[in-house]
Amino acid sequence: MTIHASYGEAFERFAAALPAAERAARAAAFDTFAQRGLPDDGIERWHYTNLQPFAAQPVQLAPAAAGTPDLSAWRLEDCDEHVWINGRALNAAAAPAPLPSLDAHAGLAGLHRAFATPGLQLTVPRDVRLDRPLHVLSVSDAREAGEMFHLAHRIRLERGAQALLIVQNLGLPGATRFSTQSLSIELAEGAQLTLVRVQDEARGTTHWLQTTAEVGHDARLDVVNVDLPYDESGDPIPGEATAAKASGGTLIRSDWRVKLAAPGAHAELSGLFGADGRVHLDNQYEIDHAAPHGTSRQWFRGLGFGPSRAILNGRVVVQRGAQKTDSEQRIANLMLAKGAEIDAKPELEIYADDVKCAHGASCGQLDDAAVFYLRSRGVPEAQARALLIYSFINDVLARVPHVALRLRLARRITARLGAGLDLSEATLSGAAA
Amino acid sequence: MDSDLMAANPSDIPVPAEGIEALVQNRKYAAGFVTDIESERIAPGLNEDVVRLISAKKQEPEWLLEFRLKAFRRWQSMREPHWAHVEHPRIDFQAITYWSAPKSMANQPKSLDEVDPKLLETYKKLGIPLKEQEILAGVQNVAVDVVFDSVSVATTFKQKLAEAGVIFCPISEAVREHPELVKKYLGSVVPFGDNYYAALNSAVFSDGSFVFVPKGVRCPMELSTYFRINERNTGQFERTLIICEDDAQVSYLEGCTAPQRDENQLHAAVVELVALDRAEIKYSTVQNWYPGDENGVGGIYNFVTKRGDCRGRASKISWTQVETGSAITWKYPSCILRGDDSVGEFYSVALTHHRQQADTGTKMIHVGRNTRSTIVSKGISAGRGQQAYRGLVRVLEKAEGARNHTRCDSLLIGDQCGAHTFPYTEVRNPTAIVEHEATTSKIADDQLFYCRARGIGEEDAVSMIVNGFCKDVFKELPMEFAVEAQKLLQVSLEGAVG
Repeated sequence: MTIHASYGEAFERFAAALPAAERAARAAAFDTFAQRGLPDDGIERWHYTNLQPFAAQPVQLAPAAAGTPDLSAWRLEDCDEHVWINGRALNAAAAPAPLPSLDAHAGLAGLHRAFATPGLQLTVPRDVRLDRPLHVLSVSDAREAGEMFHLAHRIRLERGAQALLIVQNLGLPGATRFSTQSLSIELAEGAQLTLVRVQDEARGTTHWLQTTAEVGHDARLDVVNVDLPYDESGDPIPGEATAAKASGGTLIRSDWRVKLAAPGAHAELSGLFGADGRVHLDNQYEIDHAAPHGTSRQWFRGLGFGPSRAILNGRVVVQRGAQKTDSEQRIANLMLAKGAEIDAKPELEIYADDVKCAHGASCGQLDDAAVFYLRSRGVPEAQARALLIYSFINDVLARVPHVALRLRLARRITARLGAGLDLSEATLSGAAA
Repeated sequence: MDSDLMAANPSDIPVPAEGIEALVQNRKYAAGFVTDIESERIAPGLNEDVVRLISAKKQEPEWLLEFRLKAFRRWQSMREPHWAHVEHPRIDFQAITYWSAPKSMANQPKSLDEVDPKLLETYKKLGIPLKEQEILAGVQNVAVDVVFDSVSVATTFKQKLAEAGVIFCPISEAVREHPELVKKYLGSVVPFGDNYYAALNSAVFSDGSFVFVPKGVRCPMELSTYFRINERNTGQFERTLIICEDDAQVSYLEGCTAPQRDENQLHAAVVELVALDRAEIKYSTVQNWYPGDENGVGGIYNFVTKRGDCRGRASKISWTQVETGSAITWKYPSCILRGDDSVGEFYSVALTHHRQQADTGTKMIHVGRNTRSTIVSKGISAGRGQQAYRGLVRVLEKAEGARNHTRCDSLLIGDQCGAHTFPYTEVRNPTAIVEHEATTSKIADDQLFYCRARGIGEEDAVSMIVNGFCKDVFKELPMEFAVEAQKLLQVSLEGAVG
């Protein structure tokens, strides 16, 4: 496996300032990366995505942003805000943190561990309920081609704690870039976390996210992952259709690994994507039932807006002994334009017999009869379609508990439907009820 | 017929889970005997000389040897695939004998009367009548080709089929008699370098069936091939090629058994189907290779590439399979729906018991407009069996109006087995509709209780429930096979009872 020399040079510079012990640990991680490279599509978990070409591209560590970009359009009023720009905390020096542990391709994990800078380090004490949501903004502002950064968050909820966390990946238009992000979550007995992740990276980004969560006894994790479409269609990036093949394209890969580690754990994962602009969007959701009496639900909705490739792999593993598991997974996709490709793979891997597991996946178009029904009642066709699409995605959107954010997401997606839908907070709260 | 369990105290209801497991404990493999027959076999190992030797033994023309050598060279450059959800020790391809034939077949027998009686006895034991008189007497109306290790032993009903214009013969004979057809179609559906095991097969394939149904002919009877592995340490590399010209129709059945042995044997077949305009091919398999014993010792590695090409408009290819045997099954009968309005179907029942492993499913590649496909897969896993459905539905850019429906259900018997589902759906056309649904369940205590409360014995109840579970697939099988398949499932699940 050959990696571009610039990785080594970047690491030398990065590690020079570190204490000796940490430097050694990171050097070991870097060596693993150097030996193993990045995953290619010959590996079953990477069946549709090949990162290997990126190992051969020149990179440089992203410098601190020159100024503070205007983030007002993305601010959320009632949240505690934490901003990272190019992997550096905006407000304060981040506390030192242990290297993240990942359950991923060894080379890729090695790269992340070697370079990771500390992101949000949060512990919610026993029986505390955070009264304000946390809003984490990770902004990528690349001025020169091949800038990279790697950010590691860690969230721990102690027994009975509760929190709402919004993690937003925001890419400002600019040069090509490469970033990785890890989110490790630990929920102790009876803890409850709702995590909303909004992916809004710029064109020309290669981004990998890994979220690993361990859900304890009677604890509950709710995840809503939204991959936003670009503001408008069009394809400003010249070159190959498949982003994986060309460094100029956009490649977003997100791995979600949720382990129901103790009896009574519950997880709900939902996802929504709008794909266009030749993006290569690969979402991998895995729920691992490692203990009995676990329950999990997964709801996914996808929209193929234009030339793009979206991959959705939903995997449920029921380990030996995880009896009385109850799991359900539903994937539905709408193909709205030529040139879109949606690859769905709902997987079940079951080693216990007293379980209830069902999954379903579909890919199709709007129901002509439903469109006709609305038209026959005087709704113009474009608006009828927009309404139906909105109701289709609302199954997932309604799970975003923060109403202002939900409205922002809904507007952003429906803006692409070509018919003005009059969405307001009031209609949305109605929809949520 | 009855076991201890049938005599169990009827008051002990509902049935404890161990009861069901006990039912599936002792399964007997009735086809596990060895025929003591003198064989001519070459030394184990594989190199270009072996490929040349096989070709020479079969007196093949130069172009076919070229095909084999190209495949062999490609195979050497390929990596063994590891993506399947199965585990097995490394296969030593140099320890396998690539050619074995009963000595009595050395001087090609001209008719059944000249065939070694021991061979005929083998097939009689397996319940396959070769004597045409017997068949004519109404035992069954099926033309049979039987393959013993590397050679075809006998093909029945040739005359009657020839009158209809149908060619049904061993593929080695077809190479001699109809070289233009074989040359045109061999490797046209599964190219010689398609995958690791297909490349190996293309290099060393032994025998198999060749079927050609000309324009407008509806094959007057079911065609059937029976495969038997007899020799120790041999691999069987069968190659089957079926061609249906415009408006032709054929139904083809395939069955397989092997002796009970402690070592693993490799079976790497390639089956190619070609359907031209409005042609229809129905391919049914009852696979009962030796599955190994309850500790996973022995058994066949069944690594098979089966693919049908709906080349013509409105053509149809339908695969039905009942997989109860083999230590490991790795098999994905597929349809390439190239012609507009063509139809692909896949119906499967797969059973894994003891330490059997199966990674099986299908591929439906929608190329033409308005192509339709249906997938129904039923997996039953018992003991320590591991069962995986792996299926691909791909709708290409031009496949306007393509439609697929997939249903796959798994039934778990016991808490040590596994049932897995890996469906891949890849849609590149916005007018396509693709649906997949799957469930996993076990035989519920209330179902058993219901049956037992009505006086139905425990094993009959299990058998009824399993049969009900598989009904959607069994109804697709030709009559004779449906009966055999049900019996096979019963034997597999009930142990000694037949």
